Amino acid sequence: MLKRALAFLLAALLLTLAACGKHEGGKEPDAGADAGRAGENSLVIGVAQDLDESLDPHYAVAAGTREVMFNVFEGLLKPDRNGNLVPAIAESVNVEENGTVVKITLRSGVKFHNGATVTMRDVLYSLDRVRGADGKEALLPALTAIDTVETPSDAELVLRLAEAQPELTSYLTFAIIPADYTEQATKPVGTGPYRFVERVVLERVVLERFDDYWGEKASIERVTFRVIENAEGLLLGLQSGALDLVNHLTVTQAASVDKTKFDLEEGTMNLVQALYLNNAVKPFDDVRVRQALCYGVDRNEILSLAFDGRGTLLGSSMYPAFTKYFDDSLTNYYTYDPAKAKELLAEAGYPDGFEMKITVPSNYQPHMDTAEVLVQLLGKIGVKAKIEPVEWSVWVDRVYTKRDFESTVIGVDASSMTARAMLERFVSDYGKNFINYKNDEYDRLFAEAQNTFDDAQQTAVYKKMERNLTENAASLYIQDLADMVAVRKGLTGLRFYPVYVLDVAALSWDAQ
Amino acid sequence: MKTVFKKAAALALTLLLASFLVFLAFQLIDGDPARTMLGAEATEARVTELQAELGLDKPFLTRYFGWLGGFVTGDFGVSFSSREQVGAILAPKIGVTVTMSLLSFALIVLFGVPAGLFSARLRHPAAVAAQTFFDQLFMAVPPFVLGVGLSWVFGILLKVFTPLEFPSLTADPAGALRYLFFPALSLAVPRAAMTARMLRASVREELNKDYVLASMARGASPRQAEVRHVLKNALPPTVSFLAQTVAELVGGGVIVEQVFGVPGLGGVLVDAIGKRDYPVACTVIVILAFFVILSHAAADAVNLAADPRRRGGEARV
Amino acid sequence: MSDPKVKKAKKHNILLIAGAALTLAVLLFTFVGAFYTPRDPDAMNAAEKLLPPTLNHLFGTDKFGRDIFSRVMKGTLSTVSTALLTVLAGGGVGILAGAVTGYFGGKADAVLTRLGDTVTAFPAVLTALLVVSLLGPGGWQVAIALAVAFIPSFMRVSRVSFAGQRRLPYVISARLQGASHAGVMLRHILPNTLPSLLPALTIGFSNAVLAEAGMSYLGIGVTPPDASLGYMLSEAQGMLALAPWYAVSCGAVLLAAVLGVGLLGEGLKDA
Repeated sequence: MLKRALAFLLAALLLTLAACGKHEGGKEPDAGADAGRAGENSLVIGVAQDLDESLDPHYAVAAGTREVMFNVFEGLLKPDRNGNLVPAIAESVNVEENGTVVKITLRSGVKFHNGATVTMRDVLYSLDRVRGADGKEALLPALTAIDTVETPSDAELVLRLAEAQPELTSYLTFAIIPADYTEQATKPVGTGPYRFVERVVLERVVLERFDDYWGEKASIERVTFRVIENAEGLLLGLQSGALDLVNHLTVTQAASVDKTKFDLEEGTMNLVQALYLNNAVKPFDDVRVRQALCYGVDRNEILSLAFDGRGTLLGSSMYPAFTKYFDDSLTNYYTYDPAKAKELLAEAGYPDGFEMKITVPSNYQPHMDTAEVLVQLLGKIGVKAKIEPVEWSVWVDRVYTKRDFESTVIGVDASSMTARAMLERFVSDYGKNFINYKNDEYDRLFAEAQNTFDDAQQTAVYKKMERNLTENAASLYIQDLADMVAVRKGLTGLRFYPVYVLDVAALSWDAQ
Repeated sequence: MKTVFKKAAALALTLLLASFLVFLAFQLIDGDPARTMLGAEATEARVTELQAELGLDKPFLTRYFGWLGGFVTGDFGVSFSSREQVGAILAPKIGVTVTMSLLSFALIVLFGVPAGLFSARLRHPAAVAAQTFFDQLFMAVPPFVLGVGLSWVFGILLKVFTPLEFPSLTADPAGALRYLFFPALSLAVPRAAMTARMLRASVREELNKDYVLASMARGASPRQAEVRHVLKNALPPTVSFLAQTVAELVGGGVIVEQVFGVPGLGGVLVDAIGKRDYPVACTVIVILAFFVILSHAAADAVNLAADPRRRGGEARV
Repeated sequence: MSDPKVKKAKKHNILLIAGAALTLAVLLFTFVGAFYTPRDPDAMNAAEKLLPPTLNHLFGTDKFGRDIFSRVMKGTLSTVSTALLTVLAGGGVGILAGAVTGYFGGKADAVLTRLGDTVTAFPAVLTALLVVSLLGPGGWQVAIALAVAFIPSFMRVSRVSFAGQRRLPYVISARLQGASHAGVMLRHILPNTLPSLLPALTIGFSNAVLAEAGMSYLGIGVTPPDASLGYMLSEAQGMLALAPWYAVSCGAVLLAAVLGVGLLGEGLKDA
């Protein structure tokens, strides 16, 4: 028995040694680690979340998926780095007759990744799919405003609207996909500068340069998005040479990045991070309490404690990337004034403060950190806050859908580059008004904005809505988070967009 | 023949029970797969549509038996989230997990068993204190901390492997094995210490018994006494413990998997639980249950071989 | 009655004393921490972020500029109580179940063993989520989930020990002398299985501490700003290069707690 045991141990030992010793024969793992993959003109990008949903561009909803698939799909229009919509599959888009008619001319010779040319049939198929004309639910409800669709020629498309929709063109960014292709969810086909190669769940998504792209072709041939869900793992990957670029790093992570190998670039996340208050529950149904919180919390303290001073303070539900709609005068509407905060609390009947619960999705470290600092700062005006960490699933279900919460820290962004996307959500009878904001003036303003076709006038109305949110302290608006990106030296062309995308086509390795 | 049949039936029953409990658990916890997938911007109508598409509008038992029917016929279903076939998602991950677990188990046995046997004979209080100290030291190291440490030392400083660049198990088995050695080691260290501790305690206990002293008095060397009798009596608790360890290795590697970026079953499971993706979660748990039962059956067989007196029942007093 | 009396070659009182001393020290540290900490463990300070240890901050400061020493004092309490609760509840149920199945065998054995296998395969994360879903988040909810997850391992070890003893002459003679099954199990077999069970319990304690850390890592466990050693360790893991003292100080206290219990167990067994 002992002999057998010893033999087994010996075998195991040999196996182990063999496993350990093999590296001597193999290629040096650090060969070229510092130069990244410049030699083979490829790129590995670390992402913290899996692209785990349907890759069909009309069904995909996660920001992380849209960020990557931006490189694979294009709409009639697409956003550029300044937030302007530029023609893509459409050659031109003209709005006529007070916004009730949209005339579109298709670009000729645009190819899908499967080799086929984009035809009017594909465009109509895609359009009908997103506006719910195919018998299913509309995926983009804003496009249900389209009354009739006409095709005077194979290259011309005319959309007629019952009522003018000034922001309709913003929604023409929906992806154009080949008609009747059924494997879009797992093997997506688009027209973008990169084509989809493979996805291995919880491991990677691989894209390859599309050489028949109609526009300026990409530089880097092969791009792998590696899914690494561990924060330290991302840093190890950068350090070991496994990764060339990681975005959305927290400031703590960014501080650990090796500055001799990487450049740190700072952009903004383009979202409104706030302590969102459920306006329908006590004590937040009292405007004085909400204002007291706004006066009582020093937001600069949040930035310096949790974000090394990075981030952009906000005062309403709009972030600076929306240059046209952003009103900076609201940012410091409430200046830190604990005495005034206590006074307001006393007026509202809470001279000794109160207890509250902050529900936070536990996998979002910046929001968790913010909540932790908030607990400290709220304590200074006598408000005893407690954090309730929940999973993302539970957050969506309980907070966002059932509105069963007191307060939450989250970032709210816009799914399209419209002021409506940021502001409609606080209209009292809107389905996604999760903070139960109820203000007649606000509702009236929103209706007015929808009926105003002059751009400048409409912008003015939207700004009034922002002011309304601020004055009534709908929530405690905090900041637009800093977006820290580590880029390997030698890799250039990183662009920040006002929407959540990573433009890989713009990246290239320096010639060596 | 009859026992084989009985064992198989028991196995099937356990797997059935496990899968049912998982379904039940998903029924009880908050969070809806359709809502989670569609995120914050979804319209109610779209949520309802997706729920119908995924079959979530059907009653609980209908869903369970639907899944079970598929499972039995080899159709594990489609992942709610990625829409890929569950079988296709899991196939590459099983290989990685099994390899890493086997490697880890080998390390546990390799270090734990000899350390336990050797240290059992040391009697000096200082020696015992030292053993206990080192045991506890290794036991107290969380695998994820050790994992990060090993990555820095062997990955970044010594460049033995490239952290987060896991070679494919099929394309480069040698490289994959070398890479997996480190996560396996992180998993093995605390458990090897536990094994040594377990074994030392029972061996020392046996060595103190009258029959060993008697056998040594009859002229057997301590070594022979150890081999013949001591191991026979001392092994069973350790073997049981090791079987339990196998189960923990297969299912509990998620954190180490994440730190090293190794794509295994543990990560898939935790991820699927988070997304309420129960076609995936349920299949993984049934696979885990299968490994658990198998390793326990193996442990029972070893113990039985070592000591036939354990055979079940008739001569009970 | 012919229980083979355990012969002690030597007294290992050193272990007992060292273990007791260390455990007491940790307990004292914890107990004091419940009432007094040198600094406010929750007070943040933007000017003192991630400072290495100094006389002012014995263990340095964390990413919010909080005093790690004070936080460790508070965190040890939740870690130790979670681990103890896990071992007491999980160990109690597991050992009892194992004793019954090991001693009697037969149908009950088969059923409980299958059940144990099921629980083992059932991920602790899912159990924890279930408990949290029903009872809300927090430290002791996690202890319950861990206790459930730990039952099978205790059951296995106890079952195999009891099964090994039940046919030994001393058990048979005790039965012949009219002792009840319960009496035989409790008075005769249990003391003889202690050498296997005690390490299982102290190992269980270490394992529970690790498991709690693992749960914290996955975001289930204490709610910030409260802390546990495991929670802090998983936080420290993310900044090992930036603030190594954070991981080291949490790890050292964690080691002291586990080591104390381990030594105590070793010493008790021989006392």
